[in-house]
Amino acid sequence: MKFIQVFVASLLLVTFAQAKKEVVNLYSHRHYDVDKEIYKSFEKKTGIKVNVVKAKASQLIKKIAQEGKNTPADILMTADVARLYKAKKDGLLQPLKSKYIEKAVPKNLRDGDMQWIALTKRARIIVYAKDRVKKSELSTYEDLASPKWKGKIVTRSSSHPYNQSLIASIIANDTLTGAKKWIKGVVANFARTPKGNDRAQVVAIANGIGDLAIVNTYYIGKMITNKKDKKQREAVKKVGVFFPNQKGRGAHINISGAGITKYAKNKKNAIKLLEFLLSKEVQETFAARNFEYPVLKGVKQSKIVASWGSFVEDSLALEKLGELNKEAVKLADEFGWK
Amino acid sequence: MIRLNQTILSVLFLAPIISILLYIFAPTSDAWEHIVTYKLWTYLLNTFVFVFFVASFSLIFGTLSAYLTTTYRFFFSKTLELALVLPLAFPAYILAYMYSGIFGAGASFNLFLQETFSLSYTQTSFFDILSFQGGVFVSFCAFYPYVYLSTKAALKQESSSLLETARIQGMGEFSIFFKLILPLLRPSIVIGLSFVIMESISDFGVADYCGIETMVIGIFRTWEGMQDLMAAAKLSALLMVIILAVFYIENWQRGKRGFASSAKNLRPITPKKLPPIKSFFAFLFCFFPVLVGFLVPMFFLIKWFFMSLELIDEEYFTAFINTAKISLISSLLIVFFAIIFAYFLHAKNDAISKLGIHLSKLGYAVAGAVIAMGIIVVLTNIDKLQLYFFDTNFLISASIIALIYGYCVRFLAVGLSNIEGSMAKIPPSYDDAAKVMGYGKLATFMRVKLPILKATIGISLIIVLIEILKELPLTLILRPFNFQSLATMTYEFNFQEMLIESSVSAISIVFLALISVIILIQTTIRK
Repeated sequence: MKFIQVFVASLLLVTFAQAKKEVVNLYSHRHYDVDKEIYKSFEKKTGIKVNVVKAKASQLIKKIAQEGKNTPADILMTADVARLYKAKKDGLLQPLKSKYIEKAVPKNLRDGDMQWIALTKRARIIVYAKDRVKKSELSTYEDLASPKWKGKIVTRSSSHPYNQSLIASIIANDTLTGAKKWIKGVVANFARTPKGNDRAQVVAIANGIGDLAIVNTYYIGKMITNKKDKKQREAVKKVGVFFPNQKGRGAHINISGAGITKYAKNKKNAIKLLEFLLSKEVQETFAARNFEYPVLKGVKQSKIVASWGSFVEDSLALEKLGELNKEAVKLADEFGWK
Repeated sequence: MIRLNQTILSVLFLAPIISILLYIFAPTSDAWEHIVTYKLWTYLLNTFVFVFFVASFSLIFGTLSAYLTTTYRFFFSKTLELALVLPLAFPAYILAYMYSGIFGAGASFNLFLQETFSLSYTQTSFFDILSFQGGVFVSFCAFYPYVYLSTKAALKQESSSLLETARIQGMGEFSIFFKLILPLLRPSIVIGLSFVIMESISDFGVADYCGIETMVIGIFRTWEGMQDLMAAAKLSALLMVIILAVFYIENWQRGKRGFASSAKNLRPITPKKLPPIKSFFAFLFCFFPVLVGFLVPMFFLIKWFFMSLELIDEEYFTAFINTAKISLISSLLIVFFAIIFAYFLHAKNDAISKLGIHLSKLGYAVAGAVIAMGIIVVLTNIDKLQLYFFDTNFLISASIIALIYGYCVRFLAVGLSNIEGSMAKIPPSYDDAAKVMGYGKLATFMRVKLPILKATIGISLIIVLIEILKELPLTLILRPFNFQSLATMTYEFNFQEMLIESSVSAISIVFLALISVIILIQTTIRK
């Protein structure tokens, strides 16, 4: 019994000791190496310790909901917009008050009530096998459903948020009927049942399984600079990058973003951290190291990303993607996009 | 008194499981109806077929290799006897990543076939790890050792005279295996097989990577994609009910047959020497699982490891120590609780106790992340109560206690199944004898049963330890702030699709697990 008392007492001591220090507590779905360094430089600069739990966003959301008022989390950070939308809908976030952030983040990249904001952008694009497809043959996402691509398209499962958001953007732009037709057409054009991650899709078309793959931009950058894996470096050499819908609404983009939890205990520090993540210096790091697109205007892009040229972005309000996420999954089920 | 203690402890262990099981009664939502219309049968059928194949291959290779290495002497039989356990050190998802370099588009084996026979990739696409058969293959590699171990341990307790009698009676070697050994060892084999089944039902990593739409995939698709946790929990609960039914059917089947333990003869089975040709085939058969389940993936892991040495840094060492510490503490606790539950069963082996045991096993059969949600529900409620009375800012749910508790709920079944299985084999006459000597229930358990169970307890401890070393989804969500384990480190690289870089932490998991496997070999096979 003594032992348990001592144990609990020491646990409490540890907690109190920690409570005195300035901290900000983060629940994050971003698992990128570059984030660790960014938090470290924030700690150095402000003396505020960044505590992180990293797990899947939907699980973190449930955790925050279950913890209620006692939640230790100050910030929820995700790698896509739909989960932020869900967190807001469940009443887990609060409006963010910062003049700097309001100015830094364009309107379509944040929630109308400022309950979440984008930190970085990524485009979901088409890559094509250079030896078999001419760039001029490509045009829009909608065109992927055309019978001329029969047996030519590879992509990952629709269980993945990135594909769900893409389908949601098609629903938003082409209505439900249009989206149904589109999915039906795309599924009929699959070269294989959807599986593997984004990089695997690039490897697949490089090896002739299909001619077109739907992937996120930053993976291409990471494959080009992959020092260790020759297979990836070789594969990515054989493919070209194409931004669809450039004559119309623009390419589909998604974000990684964050919001402050409703019961955040370290709200000031949380805002400080988010402002820091949107500073020019950090935005440049995101761009250079992770090949993401910066949210802040006037920030330099990575050389590789810049080499693909600038492109027109779909300016659809991102919350629409969150709203339609469920519908997107249903459609995928209905028409057999695994 | 026993009943009261049993109730308190059971509530602690079963609350997270029951909190999910109750969702079977949850009202249907439109997401649920959508699933029933479009996907439910696909999920169920895929799960069934997937598990069927993994279990069948595990059964064939697990039992037969255990039998061959025990009853015969052939090329390298002594080495293989030990090596057959080694694949246990590999988490299934890591095996899948390792094999992606060999079987698949642009992978070495397919390129070899394509170049040698001038085929296109499509003609070689059967050999692709990203496929149903690929998923079955890696799961078999990772899980067959459970059957091997349980069969091996049971064979060690059989007497040599059994085989001799059978041979004298003129039974052929094949019929000895199928008609005598298999039925005789059924209870032990079933325990090993049930591990295989539960592992393959609850595994998310392999199914996701290989693109197999099992129930677990459906659960997460519903939860994350359709953002309907209720419907996802209902799916989980449905899966639990099915598994529970299987437990009962097996139990009832076994009960009908009435297994009596064979007499404990002190003369263990002496291996018979095989002629060269048969010896060669026996070698091939037993070498195959070791080759594909251990040697090949190990080769790649080591190669990748040496490409990523710069990743050995402070964070890595912290993760290493964290993993070793928490696995050891949790596995000791789990085995401790498993012994207590075994005692409850010894004291009162009635329907309620049995139900409790079966329910506790569900923690192992359902996806780790789902169980984690049950844990969070229980702990956050305890926190609310606790904070109401004490004005501290200590949260149990955000501390390391949450993770340890999570492991206990998830892996109690692993510890308990073995111990319960061995206890059932102790003849009732021992109880009677103890009664005559005036022992009470507790004394009988402590002085008669525990000493007999010593070896099993040791084995359970090590298997649980290996399980925790490899565990990922539950660790990911229940860990406290800034806590990094080897498994979560591996996951972070995989999330970034950096397989080569993930090898440093992956090989460390395998390394720690190997140490445990070697201890396991010493305790089960050598003795």
